[in-house]
Amino acid sequence: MPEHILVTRNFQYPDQPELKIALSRGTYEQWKRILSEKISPEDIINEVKTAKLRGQGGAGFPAGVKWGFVPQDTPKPKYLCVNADEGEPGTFKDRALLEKDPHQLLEGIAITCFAVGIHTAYIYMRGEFYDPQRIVQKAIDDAKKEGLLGKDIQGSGFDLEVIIHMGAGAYICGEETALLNSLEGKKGWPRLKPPFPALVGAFGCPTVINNVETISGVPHIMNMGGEAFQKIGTENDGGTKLFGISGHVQKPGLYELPMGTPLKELVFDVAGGVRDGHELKAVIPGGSSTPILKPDELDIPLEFEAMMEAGTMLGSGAAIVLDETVSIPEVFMVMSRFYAHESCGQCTPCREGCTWIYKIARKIYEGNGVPADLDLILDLAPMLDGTTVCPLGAALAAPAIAIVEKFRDEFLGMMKN
Amino acid sequence: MPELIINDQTVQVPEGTNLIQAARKLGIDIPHFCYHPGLSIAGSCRMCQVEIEQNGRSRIDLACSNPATDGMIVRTDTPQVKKIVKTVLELLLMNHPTDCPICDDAGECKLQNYYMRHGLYDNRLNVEKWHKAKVYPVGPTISLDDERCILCGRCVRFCGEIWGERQLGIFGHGSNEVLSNFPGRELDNPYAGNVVDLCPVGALTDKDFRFKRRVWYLKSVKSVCNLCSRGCNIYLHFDVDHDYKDPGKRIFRVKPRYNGGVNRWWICDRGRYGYSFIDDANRALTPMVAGKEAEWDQALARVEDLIKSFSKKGNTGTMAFLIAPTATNEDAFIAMKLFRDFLKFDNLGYDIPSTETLQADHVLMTDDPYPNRKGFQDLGVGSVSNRMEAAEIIAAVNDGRIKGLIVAGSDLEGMSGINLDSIITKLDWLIVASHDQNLLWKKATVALPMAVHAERTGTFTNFKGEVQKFEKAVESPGMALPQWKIWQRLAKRFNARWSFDDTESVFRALAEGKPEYDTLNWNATFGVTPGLYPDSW
Repeated sequence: MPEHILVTRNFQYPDQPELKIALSRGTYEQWKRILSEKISPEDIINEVKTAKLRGQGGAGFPAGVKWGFVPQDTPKPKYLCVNADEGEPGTFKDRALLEKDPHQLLEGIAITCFAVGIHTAYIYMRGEFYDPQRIVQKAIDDAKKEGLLGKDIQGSGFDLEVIIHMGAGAYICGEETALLNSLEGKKGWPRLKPPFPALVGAFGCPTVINNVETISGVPHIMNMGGEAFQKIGTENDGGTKLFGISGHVQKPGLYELPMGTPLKELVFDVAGGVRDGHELKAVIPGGSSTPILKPDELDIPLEFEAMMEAGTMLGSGAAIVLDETVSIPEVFMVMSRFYAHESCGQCTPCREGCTWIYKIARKIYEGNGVPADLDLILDLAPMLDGTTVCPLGAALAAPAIAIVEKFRDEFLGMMKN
Repeated sequence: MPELIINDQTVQVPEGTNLIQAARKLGIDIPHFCYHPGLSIAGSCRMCQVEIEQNGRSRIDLACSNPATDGMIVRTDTPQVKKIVKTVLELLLMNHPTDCPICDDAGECKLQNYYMRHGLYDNRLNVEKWHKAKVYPVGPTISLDDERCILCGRCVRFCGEIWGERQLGIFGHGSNEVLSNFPGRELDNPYAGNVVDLCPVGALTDKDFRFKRRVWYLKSVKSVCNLCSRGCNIYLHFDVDHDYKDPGKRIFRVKPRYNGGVNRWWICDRGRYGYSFIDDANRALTPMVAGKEAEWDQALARVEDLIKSFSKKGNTGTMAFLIAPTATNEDAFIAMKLFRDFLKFDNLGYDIPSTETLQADHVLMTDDPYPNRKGFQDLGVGSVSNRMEAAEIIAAVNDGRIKGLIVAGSDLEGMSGINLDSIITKLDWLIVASHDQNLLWKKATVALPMAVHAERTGTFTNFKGEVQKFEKAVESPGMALPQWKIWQRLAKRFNARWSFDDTESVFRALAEGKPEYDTLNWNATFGVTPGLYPDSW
């Protein structure tokens, strides 16, 4: 087993979702220790800050800093929303965490809630996650019976209710404020920020929203200490990250690697490189919202800032590997169709812009494009980035610009004239 | 008070003022669709983006959702801002049907106006437009064209936030999203018409106005609604110069006029659609004496004779004067001067039950259908020692104590258990002043045609005591006159020493020494203007 395996360490055991088994392997030990040793919430937050745990949903916001924004002197209840609305195309890491080690997540939830002073946690789960829902719900019920969740946990006086809320299938509800609206029973439209959820979140109350993977890492920070956790990764990105690599590689799958592992290593060593007899054409490194990379651009460490500097994003760590059999204009058409379909429709640039880009992409793919169409995309796409309520417009804009710029010749090749 | 700089100009605004409002103070119009000062901030049209420099950092952000703060530097004219605004407009127009020639909103449409100011691009649409539902009713009075809708959500917020029931919603997602009714609900709230005013484009149109006139033919005056005691400030939109449709129709629509203390940006549908009586075929046009058309002099000579025939015999106690509080302060003032003070009528009343019972609500509507009851009270119409309620006067007619009756502005239909025919037989004479040929008109000994509020200037005092002036839009039909002029002419026949030539002098006389009328600056606000709406947001 590789050296730095944290959140996937028990993935190999099919019986890990059983509470007794999980307990025998050390799950909830940190939670119990925090309660018995009366570790202070501030110490936990400081440990998470030291660990440089970054938000693993794609934005990479430091988790400890986010928790610190929640006001402690508020008379209102506070909430935790675990974002399990995994919908970024190419991404399949949270589902594994939910199905294979639900108690690890629950322990992370408990520790997070204790640190921030929260007594109600929601797991907002993608609507299609029938199995994860069943598995996590059973884990919640079992943990409650065991006195690890619920009222007066372990005699500490600390209460924590964990509630699963199922989404209804909209990609946008993975955006944290759309998630909050959906959770409240409203249409899943992102909210204007400020106010940020840490101040005005679910039901108008201070709310922490973190990805499943982020929360699942918390018990490991408490186990090994923030400093050791940080050292696994890089200076700014502590610990490990799950990478789901798919497409034309020898060994597609989910891998846990230290933050900062070179993208090259992920593609060529970990995943075994492109399938035999084919050559690499491109890599979409972190889910479909991240700008595409050509084979000569893969020498980047997989960490948030370095990927940004390279003109792309770490995103959700979902690398999609494409070989020479793939038509890039087709990829672009399929990808833009997704964003045009999933745009929530609230704000103009995204609602109309994504659809326009998709229609142009389709026009080109169908052989009716003209070179001016590419220039229109390059002129239009930047107007979807930073002008909208939420980043969905940017999630199409940045990849669209990259794909058109980097594969212009292939697009032109599809045009009759 | 935060002080900020917008396009190099310094402005001070109250705490909490947003950047659209702050810029407007400098005469800078920041384009916007979804923002309206009477509704919550949606921030969804993304049209109002500006460059904001705050604490040394510069960003592109919304002018609607950002409050002005001290030291803020705002620019609306950078190349980047201009490009964003232009692109947002282009995106809103890309699927728009651009059917302006047949759109009622043409001329007062934000898409049109902003295209001229912020767009002016060449069309580069290279794909097919979306098609959505065309004209269909969303309620009894309003039609929706989803292809024209730009999804700003103002109407949705109006129903939810001002009326309090969500009757409209935005459904679906992406660019095939549509505005529509909430399932099972109609846009039928008593304030529904406001969504047409709020709609920045021609998506929501008023069935009452559809295809009646091009808006640029309309003219506008500032008026006050006369259909309840709130006295909502309105514009009357009229056109008498084009007769290609609806012959005889002069008033085409009523639009709310902002008054923060009275009606804010809204009016109710009762007021909005309640103007048809003005151009009704049943209007009273000519004075009538014994059922025959007459000149004013003949009619008023007859009235003089009838009154004198009683007063000469010392029978002032057998005459009564009833005036409905639909009359203006000026009408009431002259009427009191004549009937109470000069002719010494013993029996005066104004409390005539209306045919309509109103239910006050949480928005604007009051429970009093009369626009000027408070004005009557302030002028002392109700405080004469021998005041009789309408019901008492009618009872007195029935038992023969009253033989001569003057009724102004009512046909007494709202009085329960009244038999007009039997009353007529008990009276020696009945004088009626009315704007229409009401139930009493044909039975009257003398009938006098009155102008309505749209045809004259005057003041009403609303239930809160605010004295509000309204302006004349159109000429009165036939020989009809404002009520006070009728009584003024009659007073002249009786050789009263006082005489008033115009409404202003009547107002100044009634207001003299009464500070409550000082709030009204008679000279402010007037004149006929182009009838485009909305004129501000």
